[in-house]
Amino acid sequence: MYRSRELRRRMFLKAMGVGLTAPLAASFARRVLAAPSPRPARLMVVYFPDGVPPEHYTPTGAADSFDLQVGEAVLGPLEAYKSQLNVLLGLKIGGGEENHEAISQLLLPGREIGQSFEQIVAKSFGSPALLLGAVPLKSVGEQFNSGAKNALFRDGDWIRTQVNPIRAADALFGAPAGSSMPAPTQPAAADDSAFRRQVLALTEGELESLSNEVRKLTQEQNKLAIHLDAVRQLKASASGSMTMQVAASGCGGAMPSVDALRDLTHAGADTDFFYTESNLPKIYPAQLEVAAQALLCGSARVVGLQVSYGVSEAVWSFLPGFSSSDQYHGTLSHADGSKLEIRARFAKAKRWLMQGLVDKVVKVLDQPDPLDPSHTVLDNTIIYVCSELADGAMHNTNTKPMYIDNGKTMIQTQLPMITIGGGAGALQTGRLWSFGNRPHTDMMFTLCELLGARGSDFGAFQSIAELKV
Amino acid sequence: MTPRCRCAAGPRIRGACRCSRARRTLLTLALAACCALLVACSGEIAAPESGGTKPGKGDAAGKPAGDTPINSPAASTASLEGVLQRCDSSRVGAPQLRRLTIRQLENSLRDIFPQAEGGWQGLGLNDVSSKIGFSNDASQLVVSPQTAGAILAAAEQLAGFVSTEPQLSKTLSCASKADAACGKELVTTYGKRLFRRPLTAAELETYAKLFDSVKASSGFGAAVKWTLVALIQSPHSLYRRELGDLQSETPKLTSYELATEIAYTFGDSTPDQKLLDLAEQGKLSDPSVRLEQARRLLETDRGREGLKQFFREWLRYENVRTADRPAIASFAALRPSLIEETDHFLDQVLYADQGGVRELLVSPFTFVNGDLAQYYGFSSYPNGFEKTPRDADHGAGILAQGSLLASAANSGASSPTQRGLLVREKFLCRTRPKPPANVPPLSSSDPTTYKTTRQHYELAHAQGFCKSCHVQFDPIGFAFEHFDQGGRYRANENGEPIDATGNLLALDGTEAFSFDGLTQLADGLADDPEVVDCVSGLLVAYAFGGAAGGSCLAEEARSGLRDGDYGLVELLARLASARHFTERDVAAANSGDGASGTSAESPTNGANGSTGATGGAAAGGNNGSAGKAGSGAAGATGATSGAAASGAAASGAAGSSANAGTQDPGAPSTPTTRKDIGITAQYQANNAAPADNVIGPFLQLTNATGKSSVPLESLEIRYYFTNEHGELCPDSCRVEGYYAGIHPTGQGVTANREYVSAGVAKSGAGAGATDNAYLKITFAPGPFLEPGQSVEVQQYFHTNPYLEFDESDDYSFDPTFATFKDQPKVVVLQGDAIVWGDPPP
Repeated sequence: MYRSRELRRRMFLKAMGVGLTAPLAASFARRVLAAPSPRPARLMVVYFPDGVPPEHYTPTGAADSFDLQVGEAVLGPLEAYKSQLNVLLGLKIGGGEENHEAISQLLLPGREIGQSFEQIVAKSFGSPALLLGAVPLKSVGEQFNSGAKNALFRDGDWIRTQVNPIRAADALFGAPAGSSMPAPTQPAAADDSAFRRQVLALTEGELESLSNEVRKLTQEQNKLAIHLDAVRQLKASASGSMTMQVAASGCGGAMPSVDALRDLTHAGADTDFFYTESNLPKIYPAQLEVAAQALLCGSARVVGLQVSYGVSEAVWSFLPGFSSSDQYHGTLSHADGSKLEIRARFAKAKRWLMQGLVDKVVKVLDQPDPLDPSHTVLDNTIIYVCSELADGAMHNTNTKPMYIDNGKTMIQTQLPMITIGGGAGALQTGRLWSFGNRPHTDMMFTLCELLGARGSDFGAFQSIAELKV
Repeated sequence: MTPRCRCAAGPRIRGACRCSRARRTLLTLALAACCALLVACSGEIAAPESGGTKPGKGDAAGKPAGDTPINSPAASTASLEGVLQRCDSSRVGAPQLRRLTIRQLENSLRDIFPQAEGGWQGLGLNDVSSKIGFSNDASQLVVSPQTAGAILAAAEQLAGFVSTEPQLSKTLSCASKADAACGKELVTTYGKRLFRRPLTAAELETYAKLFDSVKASSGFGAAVKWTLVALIQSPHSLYRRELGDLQSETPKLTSYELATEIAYTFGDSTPDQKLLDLAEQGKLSDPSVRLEQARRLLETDRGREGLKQFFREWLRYENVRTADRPAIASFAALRPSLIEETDHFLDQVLYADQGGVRELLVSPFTFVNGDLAQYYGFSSYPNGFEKTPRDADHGAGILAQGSLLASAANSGASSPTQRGLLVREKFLCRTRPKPPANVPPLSSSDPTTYKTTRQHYELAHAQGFCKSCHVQFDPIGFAFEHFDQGGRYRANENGEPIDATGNLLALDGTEAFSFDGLTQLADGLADDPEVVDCVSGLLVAYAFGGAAGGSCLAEEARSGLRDGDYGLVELLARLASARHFTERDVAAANSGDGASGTSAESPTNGANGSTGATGGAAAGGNNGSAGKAGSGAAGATGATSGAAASGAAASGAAGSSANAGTQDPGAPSTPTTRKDIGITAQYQANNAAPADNVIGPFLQLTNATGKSSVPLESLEIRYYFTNEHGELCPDSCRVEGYYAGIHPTGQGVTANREYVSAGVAKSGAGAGATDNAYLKITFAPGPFLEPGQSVEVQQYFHTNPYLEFDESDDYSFDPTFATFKDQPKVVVLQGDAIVWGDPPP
């Protein structure tokens, strides 16, 4: 056995610590590892805020022959993975209304409604999503000086991400020796899941009865409907044993950035550390490592990662050539077409983020899938990278022309969405797509379908047939 | 304390000096609307969730008002407009279930299970904030799958711990017997604590069955554990029930519901034995008993922390905890002390001094320890936190707290914008204007042209496009310029003496008062009854979980605070005497704003109209609130006339000008001659809803196929629509312009916009007279439209007061035009010739 009984309990107890619904966590791993579909698909959603300067991003060339080395080459780190890449140009969010508020529908069928699409996929997999945050705003939904909901993922309510990669790693792979995690207080009873179901059934009955009592009160009924749905999800996931199977050796492999955080003695316990923007260079790589290992091992088949937030004023002076005035949002992303040097620095910042994703996730996943050794994990995965804006200065969420260099050059600003990976053979790859202001909800609908979920569970949108193999 | 009148031309209302709320409301709308597309040139203003959107456009999510989305419980939720509202008497909100906040749930479990200390880790979640920043808004507190999972995990951890020796015998004195009777005792005792009422016979039987079932298969300890898990995560435990008997249309809360409400409102935790006893004795229907209990609980540690939590969520001074100030070496280590300083200050003002809003703003002291004293440059260094006087010119009150000053600043410099917005939003309850899309970075200003932060901001925001909105808050923020990004006093910046003069504008753009420095600003705010109403409204909204949109639920108590009869702690305690505390109105549940529409009270400030008009939260209300909205708005008509709208148009035109409504003396003729000069007209339905209170087309002319330059002054655009309120024009019709510019150069142009009657309705026509009208847009001489260039003009038309239009039959309107598309039903003329489009038949 790869993991001990103690880990089973630890995982259960700490499941919330990785943004998982606790009782779902163990059954999720069991399902993944015990009965993979013909090819065990995975999904990773990555959010980078504030768009990109297109003159440093948009590939040149034709649909099947395109060049990533444009300007500062935000997509340059993906050169070696071009055959696994789709550059998705011409998507739009909502009606094209502008500004960071688009984040509140970036992964949703509409603004602040419904479930984000990774939840649809996760549920179709029968496993919860691992949702991570690299220095998001502390207060979910906070409006003060934020301009947008500080949340991407939603199921009944905004889902709060796990911001501490140490806790995420420990919950998924077990704490190392000497960890301060408390020992289980008693052994897990074999019939715990039966009792859990029994308790949840009792709660379900209470909710139904209460809902009937407040039938005159629509808003209260809506609240209880969300609660009832949550309890039913828990009840469904509590079915079966809590046994966690071993995927393959090598899982929970090296995570040097996570280990480096452990060495910061305060990092493990100090929540504020993970909301302090200057710590992004430490936290982002660590979260990527957790995500990669979770996908590799099958500990999670759906991973979401929110990196920073739309109006972050983090100073990016940790990068060479950047100054103490290079605040991510107000300075870098807002640089208009006359400020080419600042736009180039913003592109470098985005390239740094992309490089991290490639180094810490894409390369790691480019190895034989423990669940499907004839393919790589990357072959079986779709990494969807997205942003709420096209150009950070224009604040547009659709395709619009923009003049740079004092009006000398016109460029098209487009939402910077890409996919990386083959989606278990279902996804066309290696292409530059141009959709001509097509709703981005069609893309998420299609991703649901590609990964075996019902697109209609996400919403009434159109499939992008040409993306399918 | 007699409030001084500070409002320009503000009539006295109910004996107090206040600006006409109706006037303020309308001005708010006008300014917010104009700023929606014009402002925020530093990138420091980010879009609010609502506010700044156009009047009457539904809620912030862009959903039609009254349309409750799937998977969302939200309907009524507190808004700044709601909390600022005052009424002649208090309203009553709807019955509701209020999910305990995470904090309240953890407090409750710790109080009920003291033996679990150290054995469980809490829920590890925070609650989602409402749009005014509070985490306890009942409309938002739901049990989502994530929350349900966290609660279940915590319940299992806690129950597992207390059902195992040595804790088990502390949990149940009968544990050694391990029999069915002990199981019943478990259910009876802990059921009552967790449900905050005795269990019904049916509930006792259900839980006893669960206990017996688990005990039979896994033993006594497991039975205790799983029975407790079921009780802890039961909806009867997780929701504060404020329903009463729903057979009644105006239910009175039950005795145990009152005990729960008192406990959580004033003690932030579950009812203690004293409250449960009073509930059992039926004594909580006595207002004096409730008030006594409220005061008692507010003095407890939990009560004090609960009140402090309001201040944390209101002012966000704890944001300093994660702030980076790289230029100040000692800052990171002092962040916890900065928060502790504010906590001590609040304790002193609220409890020791029994202070109100004035004391909060002007108290001339703070609390520092040795490290902070050194950091601030004080002369003495106490060992622990000690009350320390401030120099007169070193600020006063809560606004001079280092935690607040540093939280509202940039990492490398102070921020007059953020600090001005802090005052504007948190103390004046004015909504934040929505920033425009294309905001230049603040740092783009040439650094050789300024030395101080103030000079930088004045330079960056000096022009019309930025100035029109920044003038509303940057000058307030200048008062804080003696304090750097770390909250430390400074006399100079980069060798330049600090200029901390500024002013606060009334909503009509006139100066309410001026000041030099933070102390004078705080003094001015303390004198303003609007500030007191804002703060009291926020506190009431927090206490009642955003019920009824946060409006008018405790008017008598708020008036006592405004009149200086008592402080903020006593205001909170007196909520126990409010009608809403003890009774509810079922009809209010579906009224849109969640408040009773049947009571006789009426808003005194027109803000009800504001609520309906700005956020759309009240839209859908049809049992009285609509009438109130109408009356509020109607009050605005007489109070303001055209000044608001035309002022807004002028300030917001950004290089354009707006003619606020003229009417051709006779029916205009429609040219029939056509010529082709290569001009196309595109249209975007900026507000696509066919039924609302503004006509808001965005229009764009393109010199698409022309070979030569076209002087803009030669062109006229006509957008055709029907005005169902033609009798109001021209006197009470407004055309607001908020953008006109050439693409792609970005050159601003001056556009003139007029309302032109087609002659069906004339002044003096009967109510509801429909006018087949058009918006006429022309341009000032000068600019040319070169081949390939476009000129975009943005504007909207409305009546004063805002009345609903039906656009569904408007000739030029098409809700499907989400983006600019060719619209042949918009006509462009050059001289007497049509160069684009087809006029209506």
